[in-house]
Amino acid sequence: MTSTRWNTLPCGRHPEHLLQLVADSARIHPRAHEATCPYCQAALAELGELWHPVREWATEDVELPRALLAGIITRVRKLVQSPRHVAVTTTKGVTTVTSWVLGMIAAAATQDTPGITGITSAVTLPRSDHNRRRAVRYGVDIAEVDAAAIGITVGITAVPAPRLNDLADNVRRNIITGINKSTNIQVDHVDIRIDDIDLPS
Amino acid sequence: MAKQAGTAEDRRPSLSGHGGLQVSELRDSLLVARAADGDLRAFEVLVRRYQLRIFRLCVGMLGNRNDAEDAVQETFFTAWRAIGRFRGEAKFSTWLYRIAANRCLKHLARQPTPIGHPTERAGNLGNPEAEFEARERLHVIAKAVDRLTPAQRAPLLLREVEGLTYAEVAQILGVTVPAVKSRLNRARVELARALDESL
Repeated sequence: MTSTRWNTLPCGRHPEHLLQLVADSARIHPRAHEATCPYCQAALAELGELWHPVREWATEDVELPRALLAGIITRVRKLVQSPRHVAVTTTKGVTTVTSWVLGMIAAAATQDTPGITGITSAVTLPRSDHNRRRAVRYGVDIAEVDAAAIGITVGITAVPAPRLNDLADNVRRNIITGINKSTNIQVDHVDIRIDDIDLPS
Repeated sequence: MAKQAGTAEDRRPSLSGHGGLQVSELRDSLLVARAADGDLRAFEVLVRRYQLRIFRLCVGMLGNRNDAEDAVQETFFTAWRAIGRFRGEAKFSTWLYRIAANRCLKHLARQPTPIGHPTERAGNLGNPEAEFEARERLHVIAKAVDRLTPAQRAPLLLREVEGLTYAEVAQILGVTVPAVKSRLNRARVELARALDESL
């Protein structure tokens, strides 16, 4: 084989184009130029031979590390057994905060909001959200959005107020500020469900 | 010993609901749904089913078995954590390949593969029974693959080794089909030229 193999053929086709046909095992249409041109035919045959070792390389056996499966399953099992957490990475190390703790901070921030008289019972989660069950504490549901941003759902009982939306905004702001101040974790969204109104007796 | 009654495992829907199939015979979509529901056994079947393909891709990308093993562990660990968000728009295998490819590309951005250290795909590259010439050719190819940029290497491995379509490769790498073709063309030419020069 010589370097001239890669020169444009007398018919005008380039070997690099023909190489793609060979590598793709492309079916050449009987009426296509490449099917009838002697230069292309010769080049295709040579390139087919040249490409053969790549096919051998591609199908070469790969031996799996023996403990790979066990390592993966052990790690996943540990995750299942441990409370869900959110990690905050800094240049000096990683801080992990369990969703339980985040729930406590969110609950405290909610209760500190004027006009809130209580947090309702735990939010019901869909069955598929098994990983989030441990996060349901004090009626606060923590959903991880990504490594350092979380979503929160909270159910509340409020005093009668002319603008419940404003009340909800205050809760939202307090939760976002509370969690961010304490943990540096960014809260992506806070969904608030007003479950009840505390009517004066 | 008498079977303990009332465990979470017992309360799950019986596998016989799937026409008497063993869990290892279930389709990916069913296994994914069960894994998303917390069934570690279903997830284990998925790991068994795809670990070789993912490992092969990672070894090809990273050039050594230790880093590849770490990348595979991370890939499946990420998959487990995100499986509830897998919507099934792509095949499960495509989704896994995507996680693995991204992880390898991130790793290579931090720590490029040293040139001149041919990729160890198999555990025993120096098989004495293999013919010398064949081994030499594989060595030439492995070296040429290592010289490719990660952006060229990924489509080459996905297409030539994993046998995926251009559309699947594009989906995995998050680029267009023409972009995949362009990178792949370059990679193939590099490989063919390396082989040409060695002969």
